[in-house]
Amino acid sequence: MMKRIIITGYCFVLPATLFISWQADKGKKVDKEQGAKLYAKYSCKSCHGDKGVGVGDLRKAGEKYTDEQMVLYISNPKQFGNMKMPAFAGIIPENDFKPLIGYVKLLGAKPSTRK
Amino acid sequence: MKSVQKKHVVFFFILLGIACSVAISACKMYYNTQKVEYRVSSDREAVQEGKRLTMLTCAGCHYNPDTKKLTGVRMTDAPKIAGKIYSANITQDPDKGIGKYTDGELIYLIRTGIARNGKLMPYMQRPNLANKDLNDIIAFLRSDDELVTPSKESAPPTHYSPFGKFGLSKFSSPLPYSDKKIVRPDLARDKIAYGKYMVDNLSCFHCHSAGITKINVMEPEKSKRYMGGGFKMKTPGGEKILTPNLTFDETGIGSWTEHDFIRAVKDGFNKDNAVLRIPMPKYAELTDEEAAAIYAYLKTIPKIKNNVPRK
Repeated sequence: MMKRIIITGYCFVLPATLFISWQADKGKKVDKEQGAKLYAKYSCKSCHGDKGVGVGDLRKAGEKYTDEQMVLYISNPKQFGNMKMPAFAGIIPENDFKPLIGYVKLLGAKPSTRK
Repeated sequence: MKSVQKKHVVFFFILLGIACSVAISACKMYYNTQKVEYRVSSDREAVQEGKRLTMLTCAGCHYNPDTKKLTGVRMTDAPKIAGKIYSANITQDPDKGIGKYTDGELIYLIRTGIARNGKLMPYMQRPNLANKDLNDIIAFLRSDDELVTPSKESAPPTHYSPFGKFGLSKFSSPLPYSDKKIVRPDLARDKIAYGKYMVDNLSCFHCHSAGITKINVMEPEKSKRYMGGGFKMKTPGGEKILTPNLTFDETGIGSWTEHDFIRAVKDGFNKDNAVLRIPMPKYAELTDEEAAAIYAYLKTIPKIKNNVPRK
């Protein structure tokens, strides 16, 4: 009886776990794709390049700033002492910040941790 | 027969080698300097205005957002074939920066493009910059502002390739030094002249004309395709871009309002909300009246038909 319960449990739990993790991965992938699109759309790429290196190094932005601080930085770089970056307040809609920042943080990740 | 052919090939390469060495040695990179006696006149007002002018005319190349100082950066818009070109550290550090420069040497550099060691730096030339503005810039560079206090965090030294050296010596030369009095036009009395002065000293025409080798630094309006754009450049991220046409033709900024233009130069966004890409600096330090004067001046120059797509 006990054996049957365990087998039944495995039959349901394992596929469910796999499905949930697959969905989560898919979500991450979509976020990354969306983030990359936004990175290009707002011309981040023209200054910071594909790898986050150019004028201003973005690779450690995720270590230096929290997500909230990054939103503030992009919205008004002058507040953070950056005199030359344009202020994107009013240009980038609120919903775009999350995937964009997620993508920027990936630029600093080691290749093996990038998904 | 084969050995004769081999001899010809060897001879050809020897000749080619000699020709290359002659060409490279003919590349003149250093010039004699002239001593200029000058002592900067500084007060709070001069330093304040000097900071604004420095941010407008020097920071585009020398400001490093990582150090938040004028320590220099890689000039990514320079063609790779020219070598690895970096803007200099212009903080007060005596070894890495301009700490050892006298006021006269700085004036000589900005007027002629010749550094204190005799090296030609043609992108530094501002022959038409008003004496008072030049004085104020130097007053700021000598001030205790954090942007210019000594820093050793320099960009690496520039290394020109043989092609870079050749190009530099062929297409640029130092300007003669002149101590004639130059005055910035009065914005309230002559808006157009003021706009022209800004286009000249912000070096708008360097990028927005036919190309850096086709400009006339002494008389900007004689530059080829003056302000008509279409010059190929590269962003720091490696994208290839073409500079926009800034004449009032319909292919240029003919449909732009004064408000569109002021927003573009000061905030860095065009009328379609697209960011203006580096090497175009953001001129936040310009007043609205100054930006409007540039707009007014651009309206007076000949229209050029040159449809430049945004890539």
